[in-house]
Amino acid sequence: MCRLQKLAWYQLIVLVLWILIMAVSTAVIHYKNLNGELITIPLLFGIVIRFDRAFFPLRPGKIEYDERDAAIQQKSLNIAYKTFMYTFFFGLLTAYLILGSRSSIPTSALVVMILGGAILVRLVWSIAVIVQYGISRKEKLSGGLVHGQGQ
Amino acid sequence: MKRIQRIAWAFVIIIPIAVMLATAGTTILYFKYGWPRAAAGLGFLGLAGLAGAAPAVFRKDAESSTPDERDRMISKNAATAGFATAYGIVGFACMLPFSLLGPKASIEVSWLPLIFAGAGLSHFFAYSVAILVQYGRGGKDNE
Repeated sequence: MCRLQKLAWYQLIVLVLWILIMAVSTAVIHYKNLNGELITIPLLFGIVIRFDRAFFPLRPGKIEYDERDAAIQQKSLNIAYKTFMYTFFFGLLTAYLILGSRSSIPTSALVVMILGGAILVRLVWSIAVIVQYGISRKEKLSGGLVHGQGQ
Repeated sequence: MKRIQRIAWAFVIIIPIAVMLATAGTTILYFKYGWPRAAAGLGFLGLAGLAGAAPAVFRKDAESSTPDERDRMISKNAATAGFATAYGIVGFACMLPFSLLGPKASIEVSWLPLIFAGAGLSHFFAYSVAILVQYGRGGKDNE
């Protein structure tokens, strides 16, 4: 497994855990009528995502990032941004159509929206990286098989 | 100059003109008639849509070559730059009301499409600038 794949898996696992922790914490805070500001404690867990470079550092003398990795990374980034833009557009459209132009939403909803967007971008990026490495591995294997049969 | 560069120039020229006219129109109307009517000035943003006609104006000619590896790379990089800029603009636009008005305040839903319009315009502008910058750089390197 190459470094980019490890980073993607790490990010995906941390994000899924983070979403689960946030969901459980929100439910507990809501049903036990606790102070809403307590939600900042599980929110802080998100910092763990930034530790990826510390867990998977670049090792000197070893090629851990080539042209193929760069292409996969960029394609994944474009897929992630595109998904974000479409989700954001349809989210806004739905809010506009359901609530109507005269109604109002709290400013904190916008923060939740952008936080959700940031999570979505990272989630889609991780999945796109993992899927693309899977596809290229399959292609490599089937190519090798055809090559083997030819011999 | 390649076709994609001409299209990029059209976007780079038309989008700032539309934004400037919208800003000026909204400001003038605001001081003359007050807020709800001043929003009519934002209609000038629609002028940016004229840039969408650029691919039809600068048509593919017989001499234009098919895109090569470098063209594809430039296009991909520009798309990433455009999306990243739009993402940043959306983040900034969502955080601004929260920072200025506070967490207890609320904003009208009618402002939300404006955030998306800003993100779309900034995407196309950044995409075009990235195209022009990269071809400019490549041109110098090749010479």
